Amino acid sequence: MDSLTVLTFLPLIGAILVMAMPAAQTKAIRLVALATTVVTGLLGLSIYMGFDGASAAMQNTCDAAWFTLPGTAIDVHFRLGMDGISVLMVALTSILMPIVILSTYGHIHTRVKEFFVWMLIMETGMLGVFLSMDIILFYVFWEVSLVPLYFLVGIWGGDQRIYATVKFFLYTVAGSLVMLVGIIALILATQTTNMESLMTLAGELPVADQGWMFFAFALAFCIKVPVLPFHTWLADAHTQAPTSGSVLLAGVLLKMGTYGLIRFAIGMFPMMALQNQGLFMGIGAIGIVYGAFLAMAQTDIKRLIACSSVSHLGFVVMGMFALNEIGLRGSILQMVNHGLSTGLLFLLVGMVYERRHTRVIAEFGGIAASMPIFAFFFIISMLSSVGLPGLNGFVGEFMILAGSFEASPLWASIGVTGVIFGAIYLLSATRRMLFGPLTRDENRNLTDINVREIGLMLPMVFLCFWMGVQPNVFLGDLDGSVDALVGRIEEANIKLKALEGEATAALPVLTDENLTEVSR
Amino acid sequence: MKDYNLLWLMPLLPFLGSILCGALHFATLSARKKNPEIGHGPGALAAPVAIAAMIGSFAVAVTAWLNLKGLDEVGRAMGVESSPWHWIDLGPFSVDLSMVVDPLSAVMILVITGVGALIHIYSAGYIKGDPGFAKFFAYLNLFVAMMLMLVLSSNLVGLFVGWEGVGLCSYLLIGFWYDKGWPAEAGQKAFVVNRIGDACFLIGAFLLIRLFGTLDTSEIGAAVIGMLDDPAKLKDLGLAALLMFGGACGKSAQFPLMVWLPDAMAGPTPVSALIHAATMVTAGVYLIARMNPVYAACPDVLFLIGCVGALTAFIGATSAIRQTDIKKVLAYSTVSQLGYMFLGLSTGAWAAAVFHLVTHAFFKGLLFLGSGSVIHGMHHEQNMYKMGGLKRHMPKTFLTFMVGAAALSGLPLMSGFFSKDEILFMTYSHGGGYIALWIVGLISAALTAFYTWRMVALTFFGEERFDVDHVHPHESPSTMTIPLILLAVAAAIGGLLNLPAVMTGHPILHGWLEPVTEVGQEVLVKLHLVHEHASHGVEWGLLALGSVIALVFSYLGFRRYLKGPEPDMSFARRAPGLTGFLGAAWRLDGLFEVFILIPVRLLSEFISAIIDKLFIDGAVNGAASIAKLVGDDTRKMTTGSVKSYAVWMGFGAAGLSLLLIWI
Repeated sequence: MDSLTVLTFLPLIGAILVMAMPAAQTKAIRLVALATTVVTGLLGLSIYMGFDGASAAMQNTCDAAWFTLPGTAIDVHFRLGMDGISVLMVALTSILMPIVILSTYGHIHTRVKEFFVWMLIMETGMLGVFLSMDIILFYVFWEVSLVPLYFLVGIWGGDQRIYATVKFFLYTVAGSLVMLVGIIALILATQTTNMESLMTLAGELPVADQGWMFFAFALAFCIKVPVLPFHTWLADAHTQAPTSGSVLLAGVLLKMGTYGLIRFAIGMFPMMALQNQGLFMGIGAIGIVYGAFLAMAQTDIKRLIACSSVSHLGFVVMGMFALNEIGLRGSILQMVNHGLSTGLLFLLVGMVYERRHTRVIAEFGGIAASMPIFAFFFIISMLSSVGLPGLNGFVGEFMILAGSFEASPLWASIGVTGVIFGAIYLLSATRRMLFGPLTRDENRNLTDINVREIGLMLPMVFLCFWMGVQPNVFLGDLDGSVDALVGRIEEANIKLKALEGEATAALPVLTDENLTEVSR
Repeated sequence: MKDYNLLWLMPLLPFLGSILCGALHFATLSARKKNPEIGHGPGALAAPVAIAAMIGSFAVAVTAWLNLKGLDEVGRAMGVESSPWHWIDLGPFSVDLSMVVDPLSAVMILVITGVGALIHIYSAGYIKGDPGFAKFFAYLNLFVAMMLMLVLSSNLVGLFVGWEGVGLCSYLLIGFWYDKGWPAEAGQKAFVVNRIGDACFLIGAFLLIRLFGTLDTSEIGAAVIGMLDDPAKLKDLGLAALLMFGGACGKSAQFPLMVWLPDAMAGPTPVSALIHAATMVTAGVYLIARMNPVYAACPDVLFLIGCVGALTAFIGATSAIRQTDIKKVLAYSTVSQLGYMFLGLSTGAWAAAVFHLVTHAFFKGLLFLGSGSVIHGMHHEQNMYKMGGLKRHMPKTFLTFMVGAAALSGLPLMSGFFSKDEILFMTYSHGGGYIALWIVGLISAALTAFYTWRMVALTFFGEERFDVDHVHPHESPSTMTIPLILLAVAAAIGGLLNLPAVMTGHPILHGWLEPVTEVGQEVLVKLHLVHEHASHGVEWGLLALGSVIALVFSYLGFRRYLKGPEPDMSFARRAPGLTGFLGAAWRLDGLFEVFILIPVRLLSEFISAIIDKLFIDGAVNGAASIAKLVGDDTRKMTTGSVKSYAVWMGFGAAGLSLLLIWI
């Protein structure tokens, strides 16, 4: 068995193991789940270490014929592989999972067995999404990764979990259906499901077909990211999900959307991406500002962080549609950054919720005095999110803005205002929670975070600093693949210019012929 | 270019010191949990650690300076450089950081580490007994590390790292007494207002990338000359210069972004001295001096900088007159003095601006520390109306404060006299519209002398207006007075650094900075922007005029308030409107509130409640309820009766055939 297959299905094996265990044995169940994710994490890391960033090729590929699409001669394969566009997400998923499992010790006390079964199935789904190199397989994993979240939110969520779940479900189904239409059309038009071949074949389809397929994929992934105006499911899902669900949602699941945008919308239809560059950069830039304003108005800290995701993902979308090397590299790096900083913030909010059973910001105030270690971690995470140099967020934001400025000074300049508005909502939330006098008795005797809680955040905090100080370690993984992608975008640009040239050049020629015809 | 890798030690030492102090702080916290009466506990070690780091850093700065001094003119222009650290590989180009000491950064690092070390020593006395003792030094050391990063970086991204880093430390230190609430608010205000400037800075930097393909300051400087014949590029360059100046306005508290600095006084006084007087707030001045070739190529932007500087100097000085809080007087005074520095820059007198930056670091640092000593001795009283007669109780503080006041008010032969007069002289000799700026500068100088000696009179002279039974003013410990004395010496004789050309012929600092400023000078010459220097007679005349104004208005201010604050009350009775206007610093805070804060808040509520909830969610929920409605109605058709199904089927078939025929 090759390494990626093992990596993808290890969590599923863990899930089956947990299923076989008696439900009362919660301690053992937690241990099995933790062990599974730790082993998966270590395997993921070792695969990551062996990754060659200079190469643009798919690495660690495995390929096996799966089935033939009924009624056609198209062979669907079980095909896995990773390149510079997916490798960081694979690594992030594998190291986040053990942390998330460890975090559940504080807040999952009912139906423990089911919870971990869903969690582990979700990990298989998420890894599969990033590793699939066959479009049908991709779709299968995409659905597998979504189903568990309905249950995670619907069963272990907050008071309004049913509303949140239904909303999430409707949006997701809508997105999935649109994507399915795009996938079927693409397969029928190109007669293959191999994603690597699709990257060249899709660009050779008639322009009109490319156009609507591009929009089908773009729409599906935009709902998932989510970008404006599809973002309202996110705030509800995040707010109602248990901490662990929120961390995974922010850390990995949303990135499936941005990953899909790069892999499919941009990667397969670069010409269409170029044609609609302004539209998507605009959506990103407006999302940055809109999300920030939305966050400012929130009174619930978890909802505030959820809204901040809209703003941060606006950066990611704007950066990738800069369609140049700086923007794409920054965008991919920022996916990881956002996973770390927002993941940390959700963990911290979860910790304080477990103690105070409220997330209303006004209920706090001055808790830096009673929980100094908590405050320390909160401020670091906040600063990472604000994009302070030295921490990870800055590198990504700087690259995204620099790349976007090259493509569109206007949208980039609008995006830059995000650094002001981001500071407003994050700093004011921090101040209202941590600083000021301790006015409520409940806050006076809060116990500070314990060793387990510190321990589970340390790897993430370490990564925040490391990525801020030595981003080249991670950017190096992107070299080959992003170079290749940019190369294809440039080719598409030449092709597009030629097409446009033909269109304008065709007109006078035609008139000439018409004229001669008329004169005859 | 001379390699000197020890330069990395300069920011690294205080950085490590900061981490160590932070660890000591957490050690103290856990020790305090077991025994609440422990006092500083292990945190007591923080002061020696932080001070040692500062002294080490200062020593490296001195060796760097000596290294640089040993080089010839060309070598100095290149500077002493450390090996680079490859930071961000953007793809098309890479952001590499290296530490460079050239004549300009040499001046800055000596001020930062020198004055910084003194303020660290002072703090050990000032902050003693505070539960956050170790934390304070952690922040203070981190600040110095970031400030050094700012001035040592060879490119604008590295500079921006320091720029944001000092902003963070400023935020943390202003809000050091976070449990009181308002310091935390002041810290947040400082950070957010600064971020407005930072956003401008970033856009400016991206424009520079576009123009030059690099952010290395010396490469940009060298390339400017070749751009002078290209009007389109010059226009972009002007925009970039303007945006960068926007960044400088935030950090250096210039109009209209100065509103954060007076509030920043909520922080402990050593912080006000180090960050909000001597070092961080001068970063904007440093930035423009560093980018002097770019600014030299944009005369319109320069004139605008001059207008902003003069206006800020005037607003600051008029506001300082009406303050009752001793630290607020100094805060507005700092705003005003920074305005002078920008006025100097706007005339192309880069060296004059840097000269004033240095002397200001001495005398304003001294005055802040002196005010801290007063506040310390008065049990945290900051209102000058409740002081008076303190010269008897704290003689060392009093004497050193007098020296600082003399320098600030520009009394003849003090450091501030020479530096301020050089700026005013350069403004005058620039001619044209600058004459108006010179007049504003001169009026502000008169006001400066007036408010300075009002402050001295109210604080140290007259009768004791505090509650003698409960407040027993006392002189501060020697950890605090020794830095005061050293700074007083510097504030008194600092003028020697750059005596006017009419006196010596060769101003020292001017010559020292020449390798850095000559590129800008060259650009000015090429654009025919260099003016004939006014004659020696005029220079002597202006020096005399400056002396007379300083002496007269110092005397007036001192005399008027010698008997106490009564003249303020009578002025307030006569002109209540003006009093309120000046006391509230021209009500700029109110303008910010009305034009920025309230619209932002309203917009955010509008987006959240109307657009998001009503429109977007409304549409989604509406769609869902329609679907539910349709579902509920159609469910009624599943009656289970075969007959009704047959009828529906018939209808359906008929409908379909109609559709087909129609198509």
